[in-house]
Amino acid sequence: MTPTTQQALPPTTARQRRRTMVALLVALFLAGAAISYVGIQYLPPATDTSGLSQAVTRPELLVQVDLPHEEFAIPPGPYREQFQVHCTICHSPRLAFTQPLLPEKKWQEVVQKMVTVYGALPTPEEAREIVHYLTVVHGQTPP
Amino acid sequence: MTQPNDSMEIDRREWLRRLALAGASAALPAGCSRRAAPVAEVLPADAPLRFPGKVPMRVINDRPPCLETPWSAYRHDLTPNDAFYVRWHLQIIPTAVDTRTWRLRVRGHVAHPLELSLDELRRMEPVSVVAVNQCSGNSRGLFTPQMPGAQWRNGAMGNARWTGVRLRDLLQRAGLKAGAVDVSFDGLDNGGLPSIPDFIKSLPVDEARREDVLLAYEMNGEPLPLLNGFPLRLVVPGWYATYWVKALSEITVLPHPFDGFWMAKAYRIPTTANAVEKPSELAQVTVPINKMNVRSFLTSHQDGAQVAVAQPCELSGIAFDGGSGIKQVEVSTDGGQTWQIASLDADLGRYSFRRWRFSWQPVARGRVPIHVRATSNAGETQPLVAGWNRAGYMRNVVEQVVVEVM
Repeated sequence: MTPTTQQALPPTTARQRRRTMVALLVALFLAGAAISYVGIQYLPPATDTSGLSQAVTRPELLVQVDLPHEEFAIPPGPYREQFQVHCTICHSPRLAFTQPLLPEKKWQEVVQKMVTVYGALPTPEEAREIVHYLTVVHGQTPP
Repeated sequence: MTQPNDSMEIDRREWLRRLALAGASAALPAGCSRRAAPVAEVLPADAPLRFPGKVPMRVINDRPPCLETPWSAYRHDLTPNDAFYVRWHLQIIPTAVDTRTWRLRVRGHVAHPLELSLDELRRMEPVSVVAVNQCSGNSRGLFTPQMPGAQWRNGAMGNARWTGVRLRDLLQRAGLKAGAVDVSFDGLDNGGLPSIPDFIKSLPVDEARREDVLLAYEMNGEPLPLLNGFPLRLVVPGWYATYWVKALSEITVLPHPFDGFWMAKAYRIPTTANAVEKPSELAQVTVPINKMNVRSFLTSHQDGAQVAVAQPCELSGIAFDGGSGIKQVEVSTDGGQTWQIASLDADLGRYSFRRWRFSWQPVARGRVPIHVRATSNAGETQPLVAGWNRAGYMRNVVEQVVVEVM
């Protein structure tokens, strides 16, 4: 908009336009302030997403670590896939294989606890298959 | 309980002195030669499962992390943060904590609910205590018959100087209403599935108001490692670590007993001494596990260590209990027939490891069992025969280490 066009307009219209401009600017300012406030108060701060540094980004403010991952080799055996599907949702397979070699009855108790206490989701048949798998690959030979 | 500044200074010097001594004794066979490297704890530095901020540790589980302290760390009175054991229950653990948004909430049966930032907590009067943090199931892997659960050897324990604020000061600020019974503690971890009970622990209100129960933001003078509970951890000196809730975010005062899973169903013990029961005759009545029993360990030598005959050899180790302090440590080098009294190093506080030392001169070649037995100021001592319970808690039998006299 140039001064010439402004001068060409009737005085009342120019005043109205100025008022509209001021109102718009105030509205823009308020909207900006509101967005900044929400951003500062409620949204998480931007973090280093490169994934390379697991050290502390800013020691006092944000502390983060990357946990190491090593695929645990689940031993082959009957119904291995049932074990893999149902047990490793909540914990590493390693936890099962750092247990002592347990007799079938103990593995039954363990699997039962996982179902009733922690809500693991095998069907009763799948639960029996998992017990069978664990007894075969990490069980005690009956005396 | 001490104020942090002056005592920390003394302790740091002391710690450095011990560190230097430990280094020197490892390098020079001073009479008591140890030609064989300590076994069982030499973990490769490039092991695939190295956890951030931690030395190589025995991995009991990697999701969630359960890591055992290497035995060499117990040569230090204060267990270094980077070797301090780690135990989480649920797989969603906080791997990032932003202290600009983290808040500790105190709510429930109180007059003035609180919401505090880490800065606000750090501006309160700091208090320090040296205290042992030991997993209820430490040494579970050594029980016979064995039971399922994390198969720890003896490395699910550590001793640290914890610095923070008194829980009771916060409870006072919040104003307990009449009729408060339990106080529950919840951290940032969770199970990931709605069916998995959140890890929430509770203390009776009188325990919560003990003057030495702290909310710690520092461990051995450093911010807590994230794996050990950054930014804030409940410290209950003398009680098992199950109560020392990590990444604490919510404290709730209750006008009734807390009945969450991790109190009502898990971490329970028979009411007998040392929680002993028989596999064939399980106790009907159980209570939440609480105060630690007395234990002691030889830390200078491990099974199979080689010792020179007819030369002086210093045996040393640690002892601790649930807070009465260590009165006496005895050593036997003849299979428990005779016992001799060990000397005790400076007392770092009644909840701390107490270092003991014993001068030994082996007279004959061969395999020699070494036994150590501690007695607490409360008069409690360690049994010679191991007790048992179904969950594998509270083992405190006199342990045996067999060395080779050459």
